[in-house]
Amino acid sequence: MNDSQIIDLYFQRDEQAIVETDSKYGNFCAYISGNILNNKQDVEECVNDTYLRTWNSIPPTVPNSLKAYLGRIVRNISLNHFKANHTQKRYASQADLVYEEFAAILPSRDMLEDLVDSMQLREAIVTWLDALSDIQRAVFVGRYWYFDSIQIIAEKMDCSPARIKMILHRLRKQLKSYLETEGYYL
Amino acid sequence: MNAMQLLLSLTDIPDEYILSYCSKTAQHKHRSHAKKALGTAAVVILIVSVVMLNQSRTHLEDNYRIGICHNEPDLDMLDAAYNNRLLLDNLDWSQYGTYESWLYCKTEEMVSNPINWRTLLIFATNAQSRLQVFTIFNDEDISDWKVSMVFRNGNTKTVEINGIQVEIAEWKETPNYQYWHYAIFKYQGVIYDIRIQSNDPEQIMNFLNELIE
Repeated sequence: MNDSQIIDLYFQRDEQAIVETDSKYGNFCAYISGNILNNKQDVEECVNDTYLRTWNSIPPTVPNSLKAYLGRIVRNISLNHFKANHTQKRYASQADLVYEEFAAILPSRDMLEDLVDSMQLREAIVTWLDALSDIQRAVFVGRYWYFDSIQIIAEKMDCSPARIKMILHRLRKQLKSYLETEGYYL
Repeated sequence: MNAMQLLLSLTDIPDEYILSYCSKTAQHKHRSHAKKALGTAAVVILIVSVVMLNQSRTHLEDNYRIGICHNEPDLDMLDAAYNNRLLLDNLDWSQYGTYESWLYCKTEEMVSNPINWRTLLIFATNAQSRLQVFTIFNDEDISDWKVSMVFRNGNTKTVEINGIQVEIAEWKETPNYQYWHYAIFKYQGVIYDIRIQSNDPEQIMNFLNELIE
């Protein structure tokens, strides 16, 4: 069943929509969530929450890409779940490593989190991503969107893990410099 | 802003960026698995000159001083060089000296400390000006070139590295100095001319032979 047909089921409030979504994208959602949470029960919970949220949002939303739409939802849910558990160090996952990689390029804060306009930040990130080469963007997305391991990214890109590490190292530095220029932190 | 906020902000990147990674297939040729030089004591002294398409090859008469940095722990310096082509003005050349002394110094150093060839910074200057040419070879540009571009004394051959046709030419001599015309290739519209220069080509050859299968 193609995406348009699945979306039609959502519009018809036919619960077969969830079945079809799970059939087509269940593994995809579990993959993303698993990279972040690394705990089977939590992953299942997040994937189910994803379906619920999708059910509640379509309609009126008509995603251009159902896959990307689901990926975003499960990523967000899983990250918030991770956020709640991170300080307790309940389990290790790629997200822990990714989190630390980003934390290393951001200044440490002892006070309350700075409030940053999310929409502006998102636009700034997209502008920055737009300027990257295809390879750089793919590596960045693979690591910081999908939370894939260095090894997995290297296999997908058919290059060495060392090269991936170097690319990511440079991209983090570039991103830091860019965010500083844009005034997102000092 | 903290790391979590940054990670969350990535959620809403365009669909095409999210989906293109999913469909990523190998875009690069499979890396050459010629004999790996990593961990072996190999010294390659390289003089790199950038020959623009409309320039004559007068650089052949210059005497080059060279230096080589390899990546970790010099990542910051490499990145600075990569982003700022005026880096040479900020470098302390005394730590490298001339290529002759560098060669012998680095030889011993490299025997005991295996070089990490993942990233090379190669820069050169001639006797007249501080900065002649330089370029940076890293995995983003030419993967494993240092292994694939195996030198053959007196031979010529063409190898392909990441789609780049690399011609390895033969030994040449000039009255002033001896050099191997090592490789010429064109990458992103610029012709790169890589050479090995030494007053002791036998020693260079000995080290390079370690790279040969």
